[in-house]
This record gives sequence, structure tokens and C-alpha cells, in this order.
Amino acid sequence: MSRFGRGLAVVWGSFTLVFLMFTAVPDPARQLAGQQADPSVIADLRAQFGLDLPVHERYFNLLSGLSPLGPTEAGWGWRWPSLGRSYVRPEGVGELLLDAFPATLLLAGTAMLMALLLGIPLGLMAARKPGSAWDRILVGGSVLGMSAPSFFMAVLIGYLFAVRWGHWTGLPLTGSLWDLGANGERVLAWRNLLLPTLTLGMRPLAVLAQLTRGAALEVLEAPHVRTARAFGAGPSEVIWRHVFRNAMNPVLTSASGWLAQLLAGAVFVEFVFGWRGLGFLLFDALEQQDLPVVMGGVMLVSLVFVLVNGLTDRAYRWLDPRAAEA
Amino acid sequence: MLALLLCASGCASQPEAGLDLFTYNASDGIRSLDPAKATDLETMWVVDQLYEGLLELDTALRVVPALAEDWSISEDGLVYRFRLRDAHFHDGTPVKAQDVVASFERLQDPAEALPGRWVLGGLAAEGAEAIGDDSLELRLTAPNPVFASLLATPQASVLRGGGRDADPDREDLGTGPFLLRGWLPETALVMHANPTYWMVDEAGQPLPHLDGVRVEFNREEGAEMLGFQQGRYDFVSAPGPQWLDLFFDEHQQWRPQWQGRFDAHVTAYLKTDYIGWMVDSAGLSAIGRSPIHPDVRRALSMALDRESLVRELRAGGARPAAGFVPPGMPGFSVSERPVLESVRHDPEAARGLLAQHGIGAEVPLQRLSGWTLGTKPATADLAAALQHAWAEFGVDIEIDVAPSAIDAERVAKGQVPTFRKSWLADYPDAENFLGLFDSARWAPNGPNYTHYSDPVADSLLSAAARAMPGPDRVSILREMERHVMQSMPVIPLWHDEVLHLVAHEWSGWRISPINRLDLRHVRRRPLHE
Repeated sequence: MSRFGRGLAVVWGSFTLVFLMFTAVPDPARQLAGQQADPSVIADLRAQFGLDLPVHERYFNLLSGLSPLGPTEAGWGWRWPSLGRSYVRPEGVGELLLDAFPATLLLAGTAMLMALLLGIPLGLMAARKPGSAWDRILVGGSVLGMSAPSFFMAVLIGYLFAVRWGHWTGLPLTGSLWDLGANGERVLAWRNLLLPTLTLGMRPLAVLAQLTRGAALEVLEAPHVRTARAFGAGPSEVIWRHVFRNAMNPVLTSASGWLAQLLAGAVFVEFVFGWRGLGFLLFDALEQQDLPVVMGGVMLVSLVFVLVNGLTDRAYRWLDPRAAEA
Repeated sequence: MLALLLCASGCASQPEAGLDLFTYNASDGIRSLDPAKATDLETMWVVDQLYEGLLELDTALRVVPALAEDWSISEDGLVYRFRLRDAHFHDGTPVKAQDVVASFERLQDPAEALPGRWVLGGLAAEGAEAIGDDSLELRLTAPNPVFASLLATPQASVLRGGGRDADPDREDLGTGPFLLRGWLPETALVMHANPTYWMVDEAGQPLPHLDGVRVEFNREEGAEMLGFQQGRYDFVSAPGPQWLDLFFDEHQQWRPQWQGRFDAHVTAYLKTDYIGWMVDSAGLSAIGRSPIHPDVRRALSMALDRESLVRELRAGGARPAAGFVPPGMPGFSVSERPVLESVRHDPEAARGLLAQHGIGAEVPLQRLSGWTLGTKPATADLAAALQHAWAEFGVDIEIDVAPSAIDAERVAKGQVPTFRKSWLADYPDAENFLGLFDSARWAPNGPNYTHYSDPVADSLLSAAARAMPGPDRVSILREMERHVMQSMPVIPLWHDEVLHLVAHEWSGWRISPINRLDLRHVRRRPLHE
């Protein structure tokens, strides 16, 4: 099977799996109807969302909505694939995902950026004097960063920066990228990005610092570095001119693989910090038995994983042509 | 670097200048602004600000005019006539009788599948008719003593053009005291005072006094409570027991650090938490059970020390049940309807009753076992407390915890013999509670989850439906409650209280037993107070 075919199979598989799981839980019509549970309203709600149809028809309807070829207003033809409508929100699923996904990408991206910008220099600094106090602090700290569960770090970081020192930092415990001003206008609230980024970036930061340190130590022993030293290059020049670039290959390869993991990790972090991204949307949709949103969200996440995997594969092959032959 | 980032962010977070917004948090979020879809309290609270109906309830639960300036009922109780006041929608267009008619027609339309449809259940098809621009008539299929109260529910709000040519889910089509300025789902909603609102206060000042209202949608109760303590939120409702402990001492007094910073507004809530028992033999046999004698249920009710349940599980934020209809309901205050015998704590009588049926903790009596109590996770602590309390009386129940939606579905389908539920008044009439014992509304076709069916109860309910509001009707409903509680299909546990904690700087707070949010009279207290 081609790479494209395999990717498609993964997306279809996750779509089907979620659909099957949802057949086992009650639909939300009763919940939407309120405590009066008016039977005619429940029946009308089920009819409106097609929940009164047999399972296979519902599955086919959802699947055929995704097809870019199908019935349109002017007969059969090309159309935008539709992810359907949310059961509980007025928005379409596509609209909800388009609204939430950039916030998740931003969070994962800034977390990765933080890890790269801090992790690489920290690792290089530690490699300069192995065994020094700074090196030990960094190694100990990164072990802690790698092993601390993210739910624990989220609560700890939230408590420290928003509760304990909240009056000094001015950071709220929860918040999103966008907020409303006093006149109801949308305003960007960059400060809300800080705590979730810190939490999410902690682990990749620790890993990258360790990885950079290890790679740099290896390169420091390489003949060209020893030669540079013999020619009188100082420690800083050695690190930045001769070690940095060579140590980056394994580090960057690993960093590309992290993005997918960060997206997965963002689900939990978003929930804790009330960051309105894909994870938050999915969590809420699960709580509300909002099947179309869950299916759309899961498909999007699996699509991202497939894409990132494909890109990582390509990057490997570009860096090391031997991988392509294997 | 982190410190720099933090400082930069701290400096960037300047408070909004100019407008003085009253801010609160709605932790469940709001998914639609459509009044006809308002089934939860927090959505109703926003609808209360944006919309109005023909009638509304005052704090004493009396029906008073809102968009209708005056109204009358025909002698046969079948025709309601309304004359509209001179009011405007938020976009400036005047309110006309045609808007009211269109709103009601939309609510009745099956294609819309609106959860609020039940409020117009008594209205004849095409029973709403405009008479000119400022008057209308509503024709009922049968006299309905609670119809006026139903018109005061948020679901019966009036929408511009009936909501037909706009998107009521996202747009503000109302006439209420506040108008929508922005809504970012899951983040915040901002409303400003409606400058053309018709109501004035006692001094003749136009209402509302506030510049506006900001609602945030923070899911975490911890963040909400922190926000309240830090002054980010001006009001919180019904904090959980752990937060009540933080604010109040064992005598229900403010702890010293909060004294003078916040005010507590409390009133009885028209809500009853109860344990329901399936009583229909066919339904029970379908799940492999046989019916339990009413005496046993009565004994289990009398075995409960509700005072201690309320203290331990609700931190005092509720009152032990006095009956199934809460005492805040007109005609059901403790002086008018004393606490029913079957809900009084009387362990000796409970033991005696159980012994008559051969049940008890001591030989030769037999333990009753294998009975299942279904619950959702949030109320598992209550189930455990009941299990413990009843075990002393020789009754062993098993607890079956299921996720909330699954629990609700299995109760509706009669798949658990015993379950926990609560009922919240939709309108202030005892019939709203006692309708749960209407044999025509067996679940899943209505909220009669216990499958109770009794000809006497049915005839009392229809007698109440024929009687117009007044003492006679109340006494019929009291009689019905007494009758139902003799066979005890439900064991009432407690009635919650409406508890609003409000920052002291705000005055004019109004609170009512149906827990609607009326911010029209709220204003910032002068500094010297």
C-alpha cells in the first residue's frame, strides 16, 4: 500500500472507531430536551440530526458528507466536504475546528520554540564543562522535567504563577488567545499563552537540553574539534563554530517528531488552563455526546499525525539517504 | 527570560477603562442564545438579560406584566388578551403583536424541534392572533391555571420577527434590559445596558443601573472561586460544600477575612433532590426484580437523618425535605403544609415497619439485599451515605455508578430499580412537581421515572388542572401530595437553597426561589456605605 493509502486508512480507521464507540452511548437528544423531556421534542430533535436512522445509514451519511463528489444544489458535482453540524452548538463542525485548531497549533508551536530556544543553549552550556555544578543542575533538572507528569506540572505551574504569585505576575489561572474587551470587541490576550506554553514545553525542553548536551559532548571529542583547539580556538568559539552545527543533526530530527506529541499533550494542558483549542473543544464535545465534533476533531488529529509522520520520514531520508534504501 | 515574559505580560494586562461592567462566571458555558433552547440555569440567566416575555415573575413569584402592559382572561379561561407596552427591540424596531405571534408559532413548529415547546403545550394550533399592532389574543385548548406562569418562563420570550429571519442561536433579537455587544463562545460574553429599556425604579430612574454585564465561561470551579476572592468576579452562585467551608464558619457566619467584603443572599429554592423507586411490576420484572412494599420505602425514608445528610453532603446549603413539593412553593410553606410524617427521622418507627415485613438487621429477621441504586459520579457520595444508613436497618443496597448521560438514559428507560434525581421548578406551581406522578407521563414519554400510576392521584391532578389559581386548587394539590407520599414512589431528601455571594460594592441584589438572575436594580454602592 502506498504511503498515501496508509495515511488514508489511518484516518478512516479512527473515524470508524469513534463512530462505533458512540453507538454504545446515548445520543444527546434527551439532554437537549431539558428536564421536561417532552417526547415529541426528543423525537423531533432525533429526526433533525438523523439520529432516528439505522446505524449503518447514519454511518454512511457521515462518510458520504466527507466526499468531495456528491449531490449539490445543481445535481451531482464537486463540493466542499462537510463534517456535519454539531448537535449542541449552532456552528458547523468545520467552523468549530477552524476556530480551535490554530490556537492549538500556536500553543504547540510556541512550546516547541521555547524548548528549542532554551534547550539547545542550555545543553551546549552544560557540555562546555561536564561535571561542573551547572552541568549537574541541568542534568538533574532535565531528569525532573522529563519525568514530572504533565497534569502535575500544570497544577503546580498554575498554582505558583497564577495563585501564589498572581498579584505579581498578573496572570489568570485560565484563559484563551482571544478575549473580549469591555465593548465586546475581540482582543488578543497573549499573556494567557504563557502558562500553558511553559507546561507543555517543559518536557521537550528537558529532552532537548539532554540531547544537545550528549551530542555536543560526542562532537567535542571529534578530531576536527581537537584540531581547532590545537590551533588555539577558545571554548566559546569551539562550541559555537565547531560543535553547534554538528550536534544539531540528531537534535533537530528528534524535534520534528515532537510536534505530533505536543499536539496530543496539548489536549490535557488546554483543559487545565482553559485554552480554547482543539483539545478543549474535543473534551467538551465528549462531555456533551456531540458525535460530529468528536469525529471531526479525531479525524483532524489523525490527519496531522499522518502528515507529520510523512514529513519526518522525508526529513530522515533527506538527512540520511541510507534510510531510503532500507 | 521567563521573568521578563511574565513582567511583560503583567504590564500588558491593563484593566478596561471607562465602562463599569458587572462580571460573573458561568462554568457550564453557553452554547446558544436562543431562549427556546434555554434548558439550563446559566443559559436562562443570559436570556434573562437579553429577552423578555409578555409576563414575568416578581421576587414573590407573582405573575406581573413585562412586555404586556395589561392582560385579561376570558371567563371560560380559554382566551388570554394582551396589550403591548411601547417597547423596542435592541436594534430600535418597535415591538409589535406580530412579533409575539411569530415567536410563539416558531416555538410550536415541530420542524424547529425547540426544547421550550412544552410551555405552549396548552395553546391551540394557530391559537395566537395579532389584533392590530399592539394587541393579541391567545386561545387555549382547555383552561390552564398555570398558563400565565408559563408565559413568564424564559422559553416564552419574544424575538424580533419571531426569530424566523435571523439566527437566534447567535444573534440578539430581544428587548431585555441588556443588549449583546460580543460573544466569544467558551470565553466571554459582553452585554451593555439597553438605553431604551422601558422599566424605571422606585425613584423614577431608568433601569438598568449597570453599564453592562460581562459573563466569563471558566470551567474550573477553583478558578471561579479564586476569581471571586480576587475581585475578578462580582458574584458566584451555589458554591460547592468545600467552598462554603472556606467562606463560612460552623455557625454559617462569614469567616473574619471575608466579613464586609461579600454579602450572602439566600432564599429557599424550588428544587427537590430525591431517590426514586420503580413501582411498576411489569417494568421491574423486565429487569428481574419484584416490587417492594410501600411500607418498606416509607421505612427507608424514615430511617434517614436528613439533617445530618444535609450537613455532611451539602455543608448546610440545603434544607431537609419537608415533602416532595418544596416549602418555598406558594401554598406549601411549613405552616401551610407541615413536614410530612413519612419524611421525618424516626428510626424506631422505621424498624417497626420493616420488622412487619420480616426485614431487619437482627435474627430472626432477614436482610433485604440485591437492590441496586443507580447514580452518576457526582452523587456517588450520597449513594454511599444511603447505603451506610440503610445497612443498619437490614437493607443492603448495591451502588451502580455510571457516567451522567448513561445514568439519565437508563433511568428514562426504566433500567435501574432505584435512582437519584432532582426536580427544579419550571414555574412556581406545585403541579409542576406533582406532574411527575401523572400516569400519562411515564418515562421515557415524560418525567414520571418511577412509573407511578394511581387513579386517585390522576383524578386529583385533573381536578387541579380544572381549578383556577386559589386556595381550593392549592388544597387539591396538597391532598395529592399526601396521597402520593403514602405509597412513597420517591424518597425526598432535601431542598437546596439559592445562595448568591455578591461583592459588597454592589447593591440592589434581587433573589427569587426559582433562581432567575435579575440585574436590573443592581448598582455600585456609594463609597461611604
